[in-house]
Amino acid sequence: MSLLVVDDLKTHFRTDRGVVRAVDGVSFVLEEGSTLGVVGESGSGKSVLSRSIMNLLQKRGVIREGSVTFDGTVTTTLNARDSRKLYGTGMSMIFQDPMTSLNPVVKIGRQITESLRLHFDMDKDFARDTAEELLRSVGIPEPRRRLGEYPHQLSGGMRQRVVIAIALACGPKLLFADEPTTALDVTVQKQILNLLARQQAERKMSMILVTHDLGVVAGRTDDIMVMYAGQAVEKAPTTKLFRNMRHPYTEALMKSIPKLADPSHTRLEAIPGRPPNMTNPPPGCRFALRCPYATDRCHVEMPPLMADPDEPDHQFRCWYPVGLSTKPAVLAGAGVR
Amino acid sequence: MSMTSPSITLQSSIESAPVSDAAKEAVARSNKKSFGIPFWIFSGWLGIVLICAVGGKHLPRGNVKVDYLTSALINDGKWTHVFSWKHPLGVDPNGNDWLSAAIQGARNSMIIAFATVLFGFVMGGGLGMISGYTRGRVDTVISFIATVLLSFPPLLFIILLLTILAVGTNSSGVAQGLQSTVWKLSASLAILSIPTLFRVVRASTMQFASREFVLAARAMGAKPRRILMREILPNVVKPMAAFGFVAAGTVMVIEGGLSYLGIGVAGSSWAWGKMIATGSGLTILKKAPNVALVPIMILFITVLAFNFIGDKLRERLEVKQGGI
Repeated sequence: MSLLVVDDLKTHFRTDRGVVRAVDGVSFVLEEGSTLGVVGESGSGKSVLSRSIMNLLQKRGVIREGSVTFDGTVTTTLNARDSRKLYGTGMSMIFQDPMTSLNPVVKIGRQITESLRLHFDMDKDFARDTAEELLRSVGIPEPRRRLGEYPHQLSGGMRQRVVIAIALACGPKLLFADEPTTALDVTVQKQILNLLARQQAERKMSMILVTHDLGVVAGRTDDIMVMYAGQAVEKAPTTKLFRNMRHPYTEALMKSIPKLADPSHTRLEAIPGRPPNMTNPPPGCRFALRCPYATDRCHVEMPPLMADPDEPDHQFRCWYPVGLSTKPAVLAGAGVR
Repeated sequence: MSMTSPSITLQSSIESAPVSDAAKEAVARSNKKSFGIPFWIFSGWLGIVLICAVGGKHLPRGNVKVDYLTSALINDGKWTHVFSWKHPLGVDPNGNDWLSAAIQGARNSMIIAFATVLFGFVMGGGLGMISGYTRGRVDTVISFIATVLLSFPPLLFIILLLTILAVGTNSSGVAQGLQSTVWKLSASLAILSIPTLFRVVRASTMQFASREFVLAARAMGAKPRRILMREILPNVVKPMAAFGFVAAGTVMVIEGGLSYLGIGVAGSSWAWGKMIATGSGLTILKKAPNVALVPIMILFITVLAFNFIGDKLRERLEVKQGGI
């Protein structure tokens, strides 16, 4: 059974300037124990997507449609109390910036034991021992001493390890990692990603890794979903995606990464323009304005999710998929949105 | 151009590590830094005041009676006894030893200062946190009430409150002037301070409620009450404590003002504001300025001490916030 089924999830915000369609009809399935990478530039709706799946958004001013099924229960209709029961043990989340996601005036020990005591009703000493064990498992030296320290006494990498320990404390089945390494040094990034991968394998948990960096998800995910302007524009198993990028946006993202093999002083290929205004997105393909291959059709008609008949698990939302000679098949149920 | 850019990036990457270490050291040093001698002098003064407040009459000089000879001199309008060893701070025209009055007055003045701030913070702060965290309709209603209360002229508002709380009646039940006790006075001042404290705490709560650690706590299944008490309160309470010291000083000054208007602490117990009011007549000011000046100086130093300590605490806490 699939752990997480997201079906046509829409999350719109009512603002003074109109309705912002942050997530606009995203569907995917996540199997138990697997990892999904969600890639997109800032403002593509990837953070809102994970918060929307977790029911973490405020109720006020938010319009949500579609459904999320987690572990057999539909979570989109749960009230605040029932979704709280899901947090920690069912799903949990690691945030981007460990400087802001830890409470600056509360000792690390208490921030970890808090949820243990809440969800498992542990007594103080047992929770403390468990917390020490958790800190050791995320690679923090002298865990007993660290429990009594405040976040500002730790380095950035150490702090993110603490955040991971907190998220893992109650043994979640699904972990959202929302840009877990963006705020860290490149040298620390790799350690944190390796730590996440190791913990995931040990605990057999599923993970959704949200990032703007294709390089981060390259070797560490089973599937990748590329998001642009609130939509999934390309979805595929990681190896297939890196072998053939069908959507021009994915291709452009890839080109914007500097490569070691390039001669020095090669100019990086940036994607011209900016993502469309999400209060009033263009009627056609959302990427059309920045796309080098766009035709008139792209500007008027929104492409549905399609796939190469030979590779049905490689899906893309483009009329003219890159490097595909056969005619793609429109996926059943995807519809024109 | 192409030669300089790599060297710049190299340099900055080398520098960035030691700079952040140095910054951390600086923060650690400023945390360890002592408060300075004035801070401890002022703390010592507040300590003495607190001892007076607790001991009152039972302290060695706390209940000195004026003897017959002195009263006779006062009745003759002579003030020769001022600053005698027996009455180091003089006596007032009604024959009260002024040092004893100051010692006894400490209790009421401190009760008014602390009870007002404490009650004001519990009420105003509690409402502010609820309002700032839940937002929406609750916030709109409470904020509106606070704005209405703030738009009342404060002096008229406090007289109104005291009239409701503390109007005295004679045996046949007819209203007969204000009989403020120190607790009624504190309650009125606290109600007066609620809207202001509400606003301060609400703003502070809103600032912390939007921080990611609150979202992180929610993502771990924490209930709103738990988030307020364990995530936001520890952040809000430290700057509030610093603000409370400054507020305590202000409240003591207001007590002085109310006593001057004759609506301060009633009955035989002393408060510093009441002592100032006693010495404020024109004849007394001329003949025995010490009657007014003694409580004024005591009040002045105490309020200064409150403000100074409040400021120092704020500085210290702000450095720590910056360090994070």
